[in-house]
Amino acid sequence: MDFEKIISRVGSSIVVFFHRVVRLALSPYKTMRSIARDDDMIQLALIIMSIGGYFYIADKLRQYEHHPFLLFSLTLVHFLLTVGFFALLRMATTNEKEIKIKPALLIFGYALIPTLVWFLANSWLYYVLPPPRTVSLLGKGFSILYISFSIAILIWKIITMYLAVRLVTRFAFYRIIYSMLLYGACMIPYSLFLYSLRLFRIPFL
Amino acid sequence: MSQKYQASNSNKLDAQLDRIFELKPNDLHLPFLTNIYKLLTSPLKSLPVVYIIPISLGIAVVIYLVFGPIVVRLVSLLQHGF
Repeated sequence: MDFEKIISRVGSSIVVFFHRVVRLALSPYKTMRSIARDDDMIQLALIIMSIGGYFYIADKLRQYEHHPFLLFSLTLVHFLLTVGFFALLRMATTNEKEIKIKPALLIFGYALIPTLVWFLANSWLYYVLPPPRTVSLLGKGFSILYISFSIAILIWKIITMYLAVRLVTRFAFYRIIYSMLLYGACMIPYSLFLYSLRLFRIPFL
Repeated sequence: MSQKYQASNSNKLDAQLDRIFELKPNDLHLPFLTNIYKLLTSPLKSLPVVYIIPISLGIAVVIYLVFGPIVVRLVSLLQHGF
């Protein structure tokens, strides 16, 4: 009976996860607000597994210098630091002594989906159509579509990240901008340090 | 029975109202800025894809028209880099 319960719970979380990933593209505001009320850690585990899966798939499609497990571990640390940063910021600027960390982890976890989609698509395109691109008609056409796809994902990422910060911190517009600037100021030296270690992708995911 | 039912409905309504108002609406301190913010964000709340795809395609075409073959090199760089 317990085993059946576990199976049904995991099954329902998988269905909700895929449903939310699609809804995140179609209706990000409503979806993020519904995620903000959830604390299902199985969905977070699915997101983390997807990230791990990406690193292993990407490593199979093209050989990277570092082992996928190292990249995956660093991404997890980076993710936890990001959630911790905004959670602490909320606690520091309001009188709240406690913050619900599970919904915060889930919201920021779903905010990783746009970049994960871009990275997966990029690895797949690298395998199917390896660079360099040429200045032929097909090369130019592909380049325009690729840039267009990247911009669309970037806009999607900005929307989900903005909503994640808004729902976790409950800040208003200006405070969100200031907090993002502060986050960026912390991220630039950290990104440069990772870049010096040739760990280029981590801060972008 | 009826009172219990009413109380339960009232609690549900309170919870729903709390959920709706847990996030205060954004106020940019200047009415015209708040209006612009609302004008820009309301289409992005549901089905933003309808706006995002044409906008991103337009930006990509403009970038190509301005920078020309550099875009092709940028794509090669992005594909190599990530």
